[in-house]
Amino acid sequence: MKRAHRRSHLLIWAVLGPAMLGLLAFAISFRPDAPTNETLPDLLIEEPR
Amino acid sequence: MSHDYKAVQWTPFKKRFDLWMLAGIAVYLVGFIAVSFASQPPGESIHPVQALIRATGTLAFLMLTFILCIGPLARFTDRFKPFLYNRRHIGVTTFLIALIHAALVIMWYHGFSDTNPLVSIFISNPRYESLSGFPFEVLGFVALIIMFLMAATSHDFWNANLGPGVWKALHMSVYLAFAALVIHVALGALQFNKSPIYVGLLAASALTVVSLHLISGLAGLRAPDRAGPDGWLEVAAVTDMEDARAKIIRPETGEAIAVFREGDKVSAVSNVCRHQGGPLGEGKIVDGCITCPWHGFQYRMEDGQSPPPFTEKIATYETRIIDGVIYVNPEPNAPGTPQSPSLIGATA
Repeated sequence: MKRAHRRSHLLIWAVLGPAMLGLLAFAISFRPDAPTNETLPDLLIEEPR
Repeated sequence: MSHDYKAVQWTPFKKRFDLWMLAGIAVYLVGFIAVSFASQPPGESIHPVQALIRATGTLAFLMLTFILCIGPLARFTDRFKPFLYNRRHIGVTTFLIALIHAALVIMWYHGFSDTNPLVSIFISNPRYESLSGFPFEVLGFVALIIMFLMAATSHDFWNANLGPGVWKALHMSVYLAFAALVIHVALGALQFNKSPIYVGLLAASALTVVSLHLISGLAGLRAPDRAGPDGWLEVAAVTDMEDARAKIIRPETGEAIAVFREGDKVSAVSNVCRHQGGPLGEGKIVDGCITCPWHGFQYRMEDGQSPPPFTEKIATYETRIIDGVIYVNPEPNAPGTPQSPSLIGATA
């Protein structure tokens, strides 16, 4: 890999990695008790026969 | 290589690899769906389409995670070199599985309204200002577009016409796609599925990919090898050189140099493959040619030229052996310049 690519590769991960892991930790830590996202798929619940 | 283009460059090894990969995919999908049905609580059931959406979504994510681990792992152990060699096929397959996942989601959750399903993805949930309520599907869509661009250009035709630099930059956007997918899953499926297994798998995947790339990147930043008073760089003792393998030397300026030993001959060439900048020094000599570990591009040791009918050329370097120690001159010859190898028996 070219020297310039190695550096840009490392720089990308040095910025992207912590940002991604931080957002992930935040999203998991502050999950509401009941989902609030309107596009979340609902479970298909069947009435017992 | 550049003398002609084929849609898929099959070799017997690649065919066997792809068959094993497809078998593994089938086993995963069937197993996931079977477990999904078997693990439903009493009174609840899951529709087969929903089970397939989850199976394809998790499989695409796991495959992308694996793809991103291959590069750094192949630097630490040769066991991952076969996966590196077949990474292009795994990548295109991952895109196709992600496409199935997206198509099923669009049909199942957005296909029954008057709104265009593709528009519906962006407007059905307008809470762009919220974190926990963010329209996570948009992130998946962004990742899918990036993966499409990568799959569509995963071919030597595009590599040759875009140029290795632009091509590589385009394909490095896969890192952005992976980050988008991690957040897509965290803000989507994991908001209602609170199983610690899923949370643990997602966190472990993200941590593994980030850690491996940072460790690999930092290892590549090691200090350049210092030249002696005459400007030549010490490579290694002859006895420390594995046959058909190389040592990589990093001069203070210019690109790294791969110094190969084959039998009693020592030759040095540029470490940068002309195809996509692959690290030639991490490859080996196959059929008398230096073979790139990324896609199998080959160069002759004696002049850095690809064997006919191919036309790629890389720089060669002068080597010498003194008291059983190999040295290389960091001044490159013009690409394709013949350079006599140093003979171990003659000087050691």
